[in-house]
Amino acid sequence: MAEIKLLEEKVGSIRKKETMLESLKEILDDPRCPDGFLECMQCATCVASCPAARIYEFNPREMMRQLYEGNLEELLKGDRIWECGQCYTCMSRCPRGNNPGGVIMILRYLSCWRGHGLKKIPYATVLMWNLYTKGYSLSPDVFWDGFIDEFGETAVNMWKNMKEIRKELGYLPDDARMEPIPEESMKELRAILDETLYRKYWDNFEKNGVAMKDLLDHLGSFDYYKPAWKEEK
Amino acid sequence: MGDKVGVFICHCGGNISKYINMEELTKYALTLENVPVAENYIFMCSEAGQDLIKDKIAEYNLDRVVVASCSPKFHEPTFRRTLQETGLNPYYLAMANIREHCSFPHSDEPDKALQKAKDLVRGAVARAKTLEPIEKKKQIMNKDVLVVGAGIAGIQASLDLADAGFKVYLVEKDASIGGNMPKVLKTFPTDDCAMCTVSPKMNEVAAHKNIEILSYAELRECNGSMGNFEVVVEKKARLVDERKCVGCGDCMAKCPSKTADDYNQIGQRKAIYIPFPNALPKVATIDTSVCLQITKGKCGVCKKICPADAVDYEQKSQMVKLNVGAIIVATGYKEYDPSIKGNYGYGRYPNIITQMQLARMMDPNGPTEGKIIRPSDNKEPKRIVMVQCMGSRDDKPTGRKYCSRVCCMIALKHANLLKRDCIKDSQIDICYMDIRAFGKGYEEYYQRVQDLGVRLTRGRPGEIIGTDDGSNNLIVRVEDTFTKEFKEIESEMVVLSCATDPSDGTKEVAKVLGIATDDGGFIKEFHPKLRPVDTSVEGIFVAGAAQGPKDIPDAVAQASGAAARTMALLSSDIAEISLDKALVNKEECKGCDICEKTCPFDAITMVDLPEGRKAVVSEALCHGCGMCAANCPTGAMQLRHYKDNQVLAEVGALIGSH
Amino acid sequence: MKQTRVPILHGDKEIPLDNYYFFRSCIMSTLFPGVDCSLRFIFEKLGCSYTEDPKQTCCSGFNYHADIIPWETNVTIQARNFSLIENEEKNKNAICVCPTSYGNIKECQEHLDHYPEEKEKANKIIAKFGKEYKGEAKIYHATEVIYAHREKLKKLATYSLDGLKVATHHGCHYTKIFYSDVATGDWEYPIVLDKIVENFGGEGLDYNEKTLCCGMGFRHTLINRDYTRTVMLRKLKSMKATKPDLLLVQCPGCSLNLDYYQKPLTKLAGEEFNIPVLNYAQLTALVLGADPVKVVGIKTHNVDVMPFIEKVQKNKVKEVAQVG
Repeated sequence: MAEIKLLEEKVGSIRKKETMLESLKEILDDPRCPDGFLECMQCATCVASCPAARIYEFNPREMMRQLYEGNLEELLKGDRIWECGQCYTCMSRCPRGNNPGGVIMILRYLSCWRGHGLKKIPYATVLMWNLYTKGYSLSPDVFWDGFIDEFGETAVNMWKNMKEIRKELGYLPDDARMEPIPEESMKELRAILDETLYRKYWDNFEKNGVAMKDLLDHLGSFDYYKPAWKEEK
Repeated sequence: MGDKVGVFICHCGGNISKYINMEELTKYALTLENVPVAENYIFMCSEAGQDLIKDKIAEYNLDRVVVASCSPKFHEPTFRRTLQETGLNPYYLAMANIREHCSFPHSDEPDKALQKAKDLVRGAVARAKTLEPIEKKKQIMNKDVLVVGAGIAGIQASLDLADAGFKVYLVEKDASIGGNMPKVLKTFPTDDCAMCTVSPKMNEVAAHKNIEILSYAELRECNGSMGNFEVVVEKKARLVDERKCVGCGDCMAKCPSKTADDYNQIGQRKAIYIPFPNALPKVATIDTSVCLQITKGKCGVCKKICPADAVDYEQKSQMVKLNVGAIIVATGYKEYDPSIKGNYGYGRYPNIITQMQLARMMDPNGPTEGKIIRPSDNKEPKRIVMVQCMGSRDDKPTGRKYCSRVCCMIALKHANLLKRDCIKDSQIDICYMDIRAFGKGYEEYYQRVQDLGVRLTRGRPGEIIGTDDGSNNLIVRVEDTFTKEFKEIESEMVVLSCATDPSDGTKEVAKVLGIATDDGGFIKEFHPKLRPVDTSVEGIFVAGAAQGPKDIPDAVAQASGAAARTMALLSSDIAEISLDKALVNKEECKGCDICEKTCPFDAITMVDLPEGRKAVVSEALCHGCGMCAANCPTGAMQLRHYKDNQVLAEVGALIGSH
Repeated sequence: MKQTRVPILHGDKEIPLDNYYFFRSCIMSTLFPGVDCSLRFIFEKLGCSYTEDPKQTCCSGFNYHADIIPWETNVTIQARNFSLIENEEKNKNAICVCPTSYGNIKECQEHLDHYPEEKEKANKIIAKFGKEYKGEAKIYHATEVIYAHREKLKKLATYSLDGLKVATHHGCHYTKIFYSDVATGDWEYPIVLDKIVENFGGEGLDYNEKTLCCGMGFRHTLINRDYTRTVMLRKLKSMKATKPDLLLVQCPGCSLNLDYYQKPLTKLAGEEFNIPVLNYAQLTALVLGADPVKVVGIKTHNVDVMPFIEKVQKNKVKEVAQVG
């Protein structure tokens, strides 16, 4: 009779208890979540259009279904959501007005807030700080060793001379533009970053035990990272 | 002014009473001024309910009646009849819609729903007091019928009516009658020859003494109303005398000018043409857009060669006036143009065709004489992919939201014919979302196709692109959603199962007749369940794919339905037209002609009278929509039954606390 | 204000012919400053008034799609940028050089306009330094503007692209996010860039993978390049089959990938590509006679553009001294 009991236990564990909309609340409440998400008819136009689905076992259709089934946490912990290339072809073709790429982006942020995804975004150490100090996502001085190497000798030599090339065009060597963003505007930008979730997102790394400095290893040797905000102030 | 208003509140069998407290509402109605009696009942529209109204009218000597129930769209005619039977003018009825406007949307808030129901009843009572009698005009009913569109639906409706003794004018826009059916080669689920089915019907129509065919003709104007429509049909100039032409085809053989074949949708035809061998009338027509004699003024080959001397370059189009009592719209559908969806490559790659083009290829009398060939190199394709829901079930701005109903079966039929008759060693793949084989015998057909080894992949392709190797082959990218496999199916030809669009004629005719259309542009039926062949205008009916995508059995059934409805209407000799239409107060009219411009039915004309320029409304044309009254700056234009004082009385009562 | 109408999916949209707010892109200015210079060159040739506002910050679109800037922050940054645009005296038409800027700030604007409470929230933050988003900013992509000016640009052209075959690649964040707004109407087969090429006498090529993404993927091109390489290889192979003289792009990210990856992919896949890559503004400036180094900035390209430029300079239609 032991087997029968075991089988019964299995049946008990697959019984769904939560209601559908409850488990999806965090996603559905996001203003960017499209109406079409619940209307998904599993047609797979998204998959058939997706550059990532062609390479990986990435499957936006299945992910929409998993969400629908309430398996949110599983998705957030997994690697799959990080394979999307954010090209939005799925959204432009979905016959039910859904935006799988957009929903996946919402999932990525959720995953980071929960702490799972932080190691997937090691460049945050560089780029988040760059925005805070200079006002740009990217500027010529943020590229770490190894970023350019792959592109061959021409590219490496070009980047060695990049400061000169930029000067020739009237651009600053280490700033994105011809003149830096004025300090006044930077103060305004920092006020925005401080008062919105940006700072919390940053603090979230430490809170989840992911040291920003350790993340730099993912990028190869690199000394751009500045001390934490607290010390700066 | 009514001073005894009875209020009758309907439970709608729970639809209303479940959410609104009926006793409270009745008690409230009795507190209103000039309301001596208020009753509630489970089904006011039932015979017992109507008897209750009649009894109370007699008992309390009521002169106005309010019924609080469902939308007037459903039962206003019912209750008007009830009033009429007691001798009251039917327009002494005001309805409060406490179902669609109250119990349905507010089912979760019973207290507020009750409050709103009270407000609506109060408004209706206030309006009822101001209502004026409206009479009906009697007219002799014209018994002739106009059928627009001579596809299978129009043909069926015409034959039913003509057999019952009614005179039918059958108008067809194209050079031949027959519509789309002759093009499809075979019909599912029996694989009958389409031409063999429709051709005898075409001949029957042509031979019937009660049917007059006006082919190569278009409906241009329609005035009047049920029982007495005056229509104008333009008989376009064929530049060939229909009476002389014998259809020998000598002219086609010699004509030097070619253009895209709009009948076959592949290949070319001549400037002078008979669209297909079984065309009816079997006479030639000159396409003036490409005829060298017409465009360049030199050629004249057909005229020289014609043994019957039928070619007449000077022929002019004719306007034909007809008087009819009823109209049936059977203007049909056309295939969706897939080139607007760039990711499916139609128009970009030569070897992507539509199901209709494939059907034409299969036809032994068609442009390829029954051979299936790739347009790029005229070779027989061995690997063919069919893509379902091309444009259907798609809420993108380039798609159609609805299911087109027939494409699943068309694809299965063509897969069947390809595998069984045309290319036995071919590999056919069908990429689909759901196979909707809902008709009688359809599921069985689906099974038989599976038996032939046609591979069905459940997934909607994302894109179709060419190969880089110069073979003109195609790659269909699709996920098999059952196995989660990302497939790139290489094929030699792709066939798109396109959505069904309303035909251009459907859109034009709807505009001329002033009948409502739905979101997709199809003719809207008056009531989807109870009056499925009636349109928004009395006396005008709809049949076939003009009303929505449908297959041949459904189109034929609906055509017979429309014919039966027409016969029922025309069985009485007198047409009663109620005069709840716009009315001009000549003293207040300043002749500004705003109403003339706003009227969607051209029912208003400006006339210079001795006392000045005034608007005049044609009772025959006015639909009573109220656009003119709403736009009139002086208030001279009033819609009877919705006069300013009547509407304002209701609004005043609605917003005022009582 | 002068404007012209350009067809979109349903109907058309108005593209202003003057008074631009040059909405700079951090990636473009970092990797291809020549595109900025070319655009200035074009505006001056056209006699258009434009503002280059140092106060405008990054749109943060790159960070947003790379999952490192919360939506709320992104929206508030845009509210501030929009208020700068609205405060301009006349140059109120934001011209994005980068499709991700275009897609991102348009999405933010839609969000702010659609949710009054979100707009209030953002305005409350930027009010602290005296700014307010009212809801008037208008957003365009620079290719639309060049397309709108095509007739005048043709008259100003020094060179023609006669006999040159150009493959084009449109940015996904221009064509696919606001697909109903794509100039020339079709997001599944966009041809704004092809129209620009054809305007100067060149031939826009149809290649099979025309609408495929460049494989940027934001985080992918930073730390997961297998993805980028794989997608890119497919794209480049298909393009190469049509033997283009040039690859014309719309986006700094696509330029980075399609230009920089050609050499490593040759190593990996053993296939030579060597397709020079230029941006829409660079090509236009070049045709108008701009200096290839000092204005067009070809030194920032990994694949040598000079062979293409030599071909163009053979097609002189007008004797005009080169402008530096």
